[in-house]
Amino acid sequence: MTLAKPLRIGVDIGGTFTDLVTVDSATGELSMSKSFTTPADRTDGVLEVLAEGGVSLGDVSQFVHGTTTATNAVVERKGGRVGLISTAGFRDTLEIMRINRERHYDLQWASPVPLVPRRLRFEATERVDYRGRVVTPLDTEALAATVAEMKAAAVESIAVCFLFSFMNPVHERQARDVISRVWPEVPVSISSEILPEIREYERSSTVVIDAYVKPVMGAYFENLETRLASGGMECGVTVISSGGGIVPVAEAKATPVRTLQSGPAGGVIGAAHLGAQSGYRNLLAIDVGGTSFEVSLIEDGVPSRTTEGFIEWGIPFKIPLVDVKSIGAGGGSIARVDPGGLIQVGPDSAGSEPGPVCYRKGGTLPTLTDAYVTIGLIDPAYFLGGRVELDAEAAREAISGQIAGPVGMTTTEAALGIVRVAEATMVGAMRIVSTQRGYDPRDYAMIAYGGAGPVSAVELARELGVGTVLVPRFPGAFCAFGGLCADIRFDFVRSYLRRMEELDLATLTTLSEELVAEGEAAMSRIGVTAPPMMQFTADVRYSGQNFEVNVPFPPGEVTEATIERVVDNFHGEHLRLFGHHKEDEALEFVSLRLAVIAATGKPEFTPPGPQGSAEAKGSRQLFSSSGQIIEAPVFDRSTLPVGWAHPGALIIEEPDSTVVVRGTNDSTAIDDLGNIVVSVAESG
Amino acid sequence: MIDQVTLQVIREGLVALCRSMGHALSRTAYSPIFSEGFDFSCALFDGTGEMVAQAEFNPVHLGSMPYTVEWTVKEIGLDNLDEGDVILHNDPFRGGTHLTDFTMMAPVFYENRLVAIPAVRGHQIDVGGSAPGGFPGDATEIFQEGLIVPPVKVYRRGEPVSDVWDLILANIRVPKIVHGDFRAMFGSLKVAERRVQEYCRKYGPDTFVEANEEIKNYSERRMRAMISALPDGTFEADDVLDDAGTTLDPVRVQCRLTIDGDTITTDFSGCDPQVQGPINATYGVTASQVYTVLFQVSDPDMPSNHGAFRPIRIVAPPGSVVNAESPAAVFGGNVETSSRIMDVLLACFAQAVPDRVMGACFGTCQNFTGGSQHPELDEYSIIYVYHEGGWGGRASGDGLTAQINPVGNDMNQPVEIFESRFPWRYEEYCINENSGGPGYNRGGLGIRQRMRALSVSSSINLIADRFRHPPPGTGGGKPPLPSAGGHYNDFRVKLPGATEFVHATQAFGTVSPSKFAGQVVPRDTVVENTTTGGGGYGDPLDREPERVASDVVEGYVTAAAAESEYGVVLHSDHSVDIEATLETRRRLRQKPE
Repeated sequence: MTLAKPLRIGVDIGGTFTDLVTVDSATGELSMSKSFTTPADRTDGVLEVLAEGGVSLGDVSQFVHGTTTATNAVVERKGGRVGLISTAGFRDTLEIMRINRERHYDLQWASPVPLVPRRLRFEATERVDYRGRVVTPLDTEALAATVAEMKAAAVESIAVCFLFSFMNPVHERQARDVISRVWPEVPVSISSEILPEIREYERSSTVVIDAYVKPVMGAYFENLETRLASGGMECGVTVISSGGGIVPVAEAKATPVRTLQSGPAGGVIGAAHLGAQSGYRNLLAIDVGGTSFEVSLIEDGVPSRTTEGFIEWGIPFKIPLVDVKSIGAGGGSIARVDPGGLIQVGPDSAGSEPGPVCYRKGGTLPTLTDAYVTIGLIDPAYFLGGRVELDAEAAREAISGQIAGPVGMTTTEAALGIVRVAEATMVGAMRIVSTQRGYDPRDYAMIAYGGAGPVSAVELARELGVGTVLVPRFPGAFCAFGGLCADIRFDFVRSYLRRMEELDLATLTTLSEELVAEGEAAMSRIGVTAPPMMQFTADVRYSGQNFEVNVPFPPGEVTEATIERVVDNFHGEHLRLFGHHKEDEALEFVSLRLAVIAATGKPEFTPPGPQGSAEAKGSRQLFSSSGQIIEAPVFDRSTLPVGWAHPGALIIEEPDSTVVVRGTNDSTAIDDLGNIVVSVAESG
Repeated sequence: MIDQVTLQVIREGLVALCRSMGHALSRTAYSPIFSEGFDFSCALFDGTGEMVAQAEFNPVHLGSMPYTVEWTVKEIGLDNLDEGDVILHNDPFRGGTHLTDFTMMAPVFYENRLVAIPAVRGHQIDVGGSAPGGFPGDATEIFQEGLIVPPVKVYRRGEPVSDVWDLILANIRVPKIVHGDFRAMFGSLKVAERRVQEYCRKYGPDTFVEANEEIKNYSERRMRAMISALPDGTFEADDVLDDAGTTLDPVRVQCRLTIDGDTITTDFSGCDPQVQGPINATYGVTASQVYTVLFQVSDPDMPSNHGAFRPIRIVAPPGSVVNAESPAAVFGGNVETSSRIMDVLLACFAQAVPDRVMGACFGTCQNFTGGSQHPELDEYSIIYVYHEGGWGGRASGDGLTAQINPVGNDMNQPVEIFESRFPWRYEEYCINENSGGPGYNRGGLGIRQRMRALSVSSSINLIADRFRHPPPGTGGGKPPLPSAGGHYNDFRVKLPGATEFVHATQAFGTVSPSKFAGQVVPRDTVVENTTTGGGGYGDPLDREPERVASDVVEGYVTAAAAESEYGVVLHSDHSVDIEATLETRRRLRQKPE
């Protein structure tokens, strides 16, 4: 791919900030800008950050976008008016959900409001059985009348989810034909295309989310394209997908559910790319912002993947995803003393409004950020590079009055306690991820980003036995950078539920050919002519189990040898993940997956030259990892050249984050790409 | 002494450890009960056998797991536990619940010192006995209900005790699945063992043991603080179960609650003696309900461990329906009587703290089980379907619709998973319209499921309740109206060739419409399980007419019920006819109850 114009830019819209990272491919210069997110019209924030960064739109060769717009539309219930068509007898699946609740004992807990109210949930006479055989043909005439009724009810988009459509999509396709005949203008999402996988509630939820955000996302993307084009940008907008690939905006508009979680996915892709360049192919990536702590795993340079996403408790979307586990622990997490007299932190958050007490925006409850400020981990005068001045005294007072007093500690002890409890929660989350994925954290390095990630990363690493922590440049805007490292990627899946010994090889071969054709069509639709990379995998389980293990599946014609390889792969992976396997046990094939990938040129950038002397700009008192009060030097990151190194505890500040090293036996250096690399001692 | 922050760090870590056990279990299990339904619990006990941490999986196991482990420790003896031992146990009369709930536990040693006993309890799909999948609705003694396994070592010093395994699995209809699920339980204990040893290494075994003790003291302080905040007094309530299955007589459940300073006494002396039917509750079941309701009305985030239970006294006379003695049949005690115990406890608390309770919920688990040969997959399969329903209205709003009974927190089995495995085809799975108890805040709605038998013959069993006695409302709220079949919760069947659904009493000649076992139905029989909604909260005549109108538009309430129960009259476009509504409400208020 040749780039006549020099600027490659990544723009990520988060809850509080809209971030911009630019790479000048002529000079290799990397730069970052930030502006506030503008919820009323998020394109305002995009244009503001472009102005802030001095971007001339005419010079842009690539525009990669990550956004939480779709997620926000669902969380705030501001999506379109959707009509849902289900198999007769099953329109309430969306409201019955999975019948459990988020909180065991809370009698006042409210379950999530369904995205489609009952009056807009319709039914169609049809039925397909578990093997995909038609039991009752689709009544197309009745359906036509239903569509007319939906039109009269002024729905803005239609979702269709029939039972077992993943085994046989014929009725859903017929239904789409009927809808487009009766009402050609209305957008339609059918479940067998969005998610041809078993479990009707999860599939309904996914297809409904797609239909729900379609009107909002269509309008948003069109507005963005128009404004960027009128500013002189000639290249098209590309969007980071949930699966960590980039797709042209037209694809994102057609299937907007695939843009959920696109920002975090960008961060993980960037982490994998940057980590590999720095020589770390096994990584734990952590992203800590104001409200959440997100953790992902990268194995041999490849981010681990899942198909289980949640927008909020009980509202799942099952699409190919970069696996990002999120818990409510961030800078805004609220600290309190519980009725038993112990300090609790989170999971509720003061967010950015009203925010921590030290923001002076009306927050009165002490947060993790307030604790950071109180014990000197964050400099109140240098938050966002000094753009926002924090009120350290107010933070101290809140912690003193609400935490230290009730538990009988000094204010400093209480603040330190808040930090340790929050870090314990983060470590707990990382351990749960580790059990689920069957790995040992000690074999991994950690890469930390997000505004609050580098503050706690080194201590988390020590607790988990991780020996190295990497902090990339511009950690506070890393998700925007990550998008620039992504390949073009599409994911496809076909369900084929059979016991291994009953597999029909010809059928599997046909399925794999269909997937390849689908992948090639998608690539040619967006103008990629070079042959893409094709990666087949299969979901397999022990016959009778309900969760699958995803394993490599050899490409080409499916033969007995192919199946033998898959079986071997499964046993090996099950042993690795769960610690046991049983070779004489029967297996079940569940689905065949294909990832179609076209590599893009990755940004090449030069590390920053030293800007001034690498002397400490001051020092602050710090509690060391072992609990001693020490005087730690404070450095300005922009002054630290490649090759710089420093032993012991220290603080490195930069405009969008603060790196804190609390171990007196740790050592810190700047590597060839400008990353901060901390060698974490076993005991600090 | 251990500092408060380190204590909290370890405490959070131990709860995370229990969650990790659960994740490991659900991912490797065979039966959908674990992997889809999450019908299991994971907890950590200290070296004395007292519970220190538990993950939030299934509340019904909350109070009974401690008794199971306590009993095991007492019976086997701490001195007889060796590294690598694993103990299995399901005896309801030794701290258990019902026979399908198996508890597996393993001592963890650090430097030859017993430091912890992780335990996992899970519902196994079959346990032998007269009913495939359990729940024989006609059982009169426990020996009909299945295989009783007292605390026995199934691994001895790391080696499986194959004689015992063979004996257990020989009594089970689907040994492969049950064995697979036992393996998954075993794997989750291994997860716990590793983490406990890491803690001991990091903090030292003395600090770890001290932390365990302090964690219990912490929960005790927290529970006492919450109880102190409740008003002192004595409150009484009673309710009934429809019948014991073997006769049609109602069975009384009664509670006298005393709140006194920072302690609570729940006295169940007014309950009926144990009965000749499968609805007797064991002490562990009753204790679970007491602790659950305490958590519900005081502190839903209460860290569950032995310390939290110390301020609570439970009086349950041996030989009564809430503390049955062998050989009583107990299968439904864990799922039906438990619900009624919760109902009377909440009715007591409604008098003390009305803003923290809810109207009674649908009040059954309606466990429907069965066994049949699959015509296509060529294997014998067992189904286990529990049914969700409506919860009561509460101060914060309408009751929850289609929720699992509050004694549990399981997920349902997706229709597509179910049909891929079992020879049944769902014809309907929907909300039971008009089933919420009227109230200022309406009770949530129940559901209706219809499914068609595809096997040549299927043997079916049912244990359910509240068919004939509806869930009461609270604070002026009303019970629900009967469902279409005439009962509140309901079970009906349409045999091939029949034109309508009839109750089990008519179709099979059973004594009870809600409890039976071993009924064999041919292919193309359609069974219908219906659940009712919850009781209302507050006077329905005070409900804002717009909310009633909205319920009619969504199909939650019929226009007729809007008028008769809420006094709200609607125009044909569903807008409120204000004059007619005022008039109707005036008339209804004058009407004597």
